[in-house]
Amino acid sequence: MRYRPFRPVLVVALAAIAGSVMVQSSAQAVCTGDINGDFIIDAADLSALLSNWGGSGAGDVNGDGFIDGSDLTALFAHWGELCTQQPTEIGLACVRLTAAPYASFVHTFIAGTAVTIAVDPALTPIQVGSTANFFVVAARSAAEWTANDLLTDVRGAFQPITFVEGGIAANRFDVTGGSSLSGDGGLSVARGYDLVVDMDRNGRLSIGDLIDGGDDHAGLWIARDPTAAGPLAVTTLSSYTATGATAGFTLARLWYPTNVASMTPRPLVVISHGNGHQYTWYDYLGSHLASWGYIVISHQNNTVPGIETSSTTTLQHTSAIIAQQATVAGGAINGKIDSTHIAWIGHSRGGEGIVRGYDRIFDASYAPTGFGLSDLKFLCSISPTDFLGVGSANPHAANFMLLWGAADGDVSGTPTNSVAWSFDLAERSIGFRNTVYVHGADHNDFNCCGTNDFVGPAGTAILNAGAQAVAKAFILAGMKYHLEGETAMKEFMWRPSSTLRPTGVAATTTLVKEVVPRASVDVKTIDNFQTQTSTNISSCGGTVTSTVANISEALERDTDATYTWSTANPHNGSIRATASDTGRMIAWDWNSAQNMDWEVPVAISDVHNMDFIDVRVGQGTRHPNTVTLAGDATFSVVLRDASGVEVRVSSLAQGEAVNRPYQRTGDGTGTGWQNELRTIRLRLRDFQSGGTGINLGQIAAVRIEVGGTSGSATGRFILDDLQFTKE
Amino acid sequence: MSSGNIQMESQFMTLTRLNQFGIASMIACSIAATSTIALAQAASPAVNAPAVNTPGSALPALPVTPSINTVPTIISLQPVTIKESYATDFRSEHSQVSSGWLMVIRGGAAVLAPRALAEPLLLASGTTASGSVWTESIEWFNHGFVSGYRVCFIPCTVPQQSGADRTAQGLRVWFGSPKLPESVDAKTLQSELEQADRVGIVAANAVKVEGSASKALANRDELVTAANALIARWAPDESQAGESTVPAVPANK
Repeated sequence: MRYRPFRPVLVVALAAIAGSVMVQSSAQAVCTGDINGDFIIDAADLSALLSNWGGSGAGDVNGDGFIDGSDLTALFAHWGELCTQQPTEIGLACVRLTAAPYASFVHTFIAGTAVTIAVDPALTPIQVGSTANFFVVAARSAAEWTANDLLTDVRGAFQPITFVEGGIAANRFDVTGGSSLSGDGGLSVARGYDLVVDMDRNGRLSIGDLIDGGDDHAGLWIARDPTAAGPLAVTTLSSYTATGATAGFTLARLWYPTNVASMTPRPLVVISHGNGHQYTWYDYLGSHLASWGYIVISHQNNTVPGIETSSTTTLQHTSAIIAQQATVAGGAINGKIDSTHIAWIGHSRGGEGIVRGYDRIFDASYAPTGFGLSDLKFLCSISPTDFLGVGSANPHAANFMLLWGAADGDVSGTPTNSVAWSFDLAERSIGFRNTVYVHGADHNDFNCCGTNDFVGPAGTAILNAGAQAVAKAFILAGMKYHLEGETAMKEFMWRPSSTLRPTGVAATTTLVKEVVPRASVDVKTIDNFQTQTSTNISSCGGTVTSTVANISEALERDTDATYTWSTANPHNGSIRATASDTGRMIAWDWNSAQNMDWEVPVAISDVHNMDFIDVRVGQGTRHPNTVTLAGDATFSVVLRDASGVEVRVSSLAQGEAVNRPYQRTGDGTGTGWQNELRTIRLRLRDFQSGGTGINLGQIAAVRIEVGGTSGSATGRFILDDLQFTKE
Repeated sequence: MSSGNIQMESQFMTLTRLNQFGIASMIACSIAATSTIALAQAASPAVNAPAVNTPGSALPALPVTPSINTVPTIISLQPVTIKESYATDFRSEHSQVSSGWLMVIRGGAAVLAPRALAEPLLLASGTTASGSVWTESIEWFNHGFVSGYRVCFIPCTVPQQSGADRTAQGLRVWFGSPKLPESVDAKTLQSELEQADRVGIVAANAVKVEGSASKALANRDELVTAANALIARWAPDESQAGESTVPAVPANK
């Protein structure tokens, strides 16, 4: 049976005029009833259905798990249709994997690196021994494909590929000239391409072809190094005076594209420094962002009294630059600030200050002039404090990014003082959020000139250059995605460095990344450990069974003010919730082949149009099993459908592993710092790889397996947010 | 060092404070200073500045405060009046301020070091002529980590002018518990005062009051300007308020 596309399929309707093909974007699944995969719904399909009458699997046309009269009805509804009247929308660009599923389908590559495509014979109507022509085409929207189906390869010539025996592993093809594809997207970090396998070799996107990017998104993004300066020259105004700002805190620095006069209005970025820091310490970030098309200010920040005053200066300066644009810098930016697209970046107390500022507007306790809540598209806190707690420092539904250095000697993550728990802020966010936990970075590595507060193992310091490269890359990624909708940047937020690393970030730098989509959008949550406190029932109401040991579902909070492991403190190392917060997680450990199994209720069992299964997971710091493991931890995810088909995908095969905690000492005995969570994201298509036959329309259970052949022999995990998500 | 016979008169002065309903209430504080005492004369930074912190060194651990070991030395005091009052950010009540002491203190690196986490409150207390004790949260304009000198402002009563050389008697200045100044209220101040008493923090031996009259300022902008002048003199590595607090040479770069 033909697979069901993850993304809306392209329906090709033959036009009345012979030879012309019109491509339309549609969510219609036109192959319903093509049981035997011969691309026509006919007697052969009827026969196949009847041969399985009363059973399940092949012939289950409507996907309800049973082959009965309703399937017969569905088949006859499509009787006689040709289902080959479409190019197939399917992921082609991939990263090679050394084991099954042999390919990790992705979209974004750093310019200069090799690009691979893969075709899975089990999921794609190809014939072994046949040759097709592979095209790399400048990205087109669905409408543009409709208007123009002619294939023009940007490399100058298409690439013939021949399909062979051996499954997907044998049908991976290096893209000729892939490392030479241009990433020049103007002000976009990446340039988009669509990938087409022209099966009939007619030079057009037509019946039976494969396309990655036939919708409005490119199939392949070639990204320039986001740590490198953008294409624009930058003008810096070393300081100007903001009218209306608190006395003593009126100065700000301004960066803007030198040719801003010829540009459309640009998003505004406001940088808010920390206590004991200066507004002049963020040149690296201001000039970087301006070179990519932003108008950036960094302002004096009233941080000594506290967070409220810090938020006030950020609010004041944001209003001031909007109001004073006609006069600042001689009017060079007059009319060029897009005040509906604003980002705030805050460091340390400033990092909490921007969240407080957002919260004040949200709570209607502060009414800014010149902008409003909906104009704040992105908040980025670098190593923020948490003085105020959930009631006053809450990013609510804002798009929120957290950067944190694991060697921070100031906002250190000590379990003795929740003010130093930066991740509290991220956990409160109910918007799109992502975090980057940077091993070897200290508090002041994110500015030019602060004191050396590094606390960590000798030889692990990445210093300013290393930390600032991370900041430049990931803040730019956040800006481009949240302010300008550049989807190519999203993969930077979750893919491991082993497959997508900004060139300027050292390969030796460990980055632990989380991404959590906006809760109400594109998510089917299996368990977030919030709404059901029993370890036997998931958030979605399904039964949870397990063989793992020492299960604890509780607040994400270390309760004994030391990182020394204690069974009385099962969430040792979790510093993501103050006593007033509500974020909960689960923790458990293992020493043999064990698992935790979540029933997926029917209400959310249809995930054929979802893209991933995500889980946030980290190792329990200083736990004896973690100490014994002494390395990254691996596990497998098993999906089971209603027919009992089970498919297992290993995190290791995907190049994904749960990082060993940063080996920092202090705050008790042992080695390891706070629990580092990362999002492990497995593509659902990988569970179909090789023709497993699993029915993604009826997933009955999800199981995480550890030990044995499924993953690390021992360990302790902290988990949260097991859910299906969309790309 | 020099000494002399100083007489300073005290007075009450009212500070307008907004309560939680935004209604002005009044607080009073003053410094009694009438006796003859030894003066601590302000020396120039070049002579007197301790090597508080060497650029490149790590953030020193926060000492326990309050403690007699962390009591700063008062280097100078300048009474000021501010015509256009302002709401201080160093009290949760945002008390209205129209006068006070512009002050320079010298302290150790550990208490002066800038930190993201809570820093020790800087507090002042004195006794009015009528014998009542007042306590206030001191504003500060720089951290003084490198120079060892911090420029501050005690929002409080200023003494009536008398003579060219005056001394504030009974003034206590100390580092209190680590807290955000914006969270400080009357209850906090009372608690801090009790702690200071418990650990034995006493009034400075002698405090020289600079100038023959209160410095008359129009508004807080002028207060910041005056503070900047002191920063330029005592902590030249920190050239202005709000720009302060760290080694002039990048530490770990």
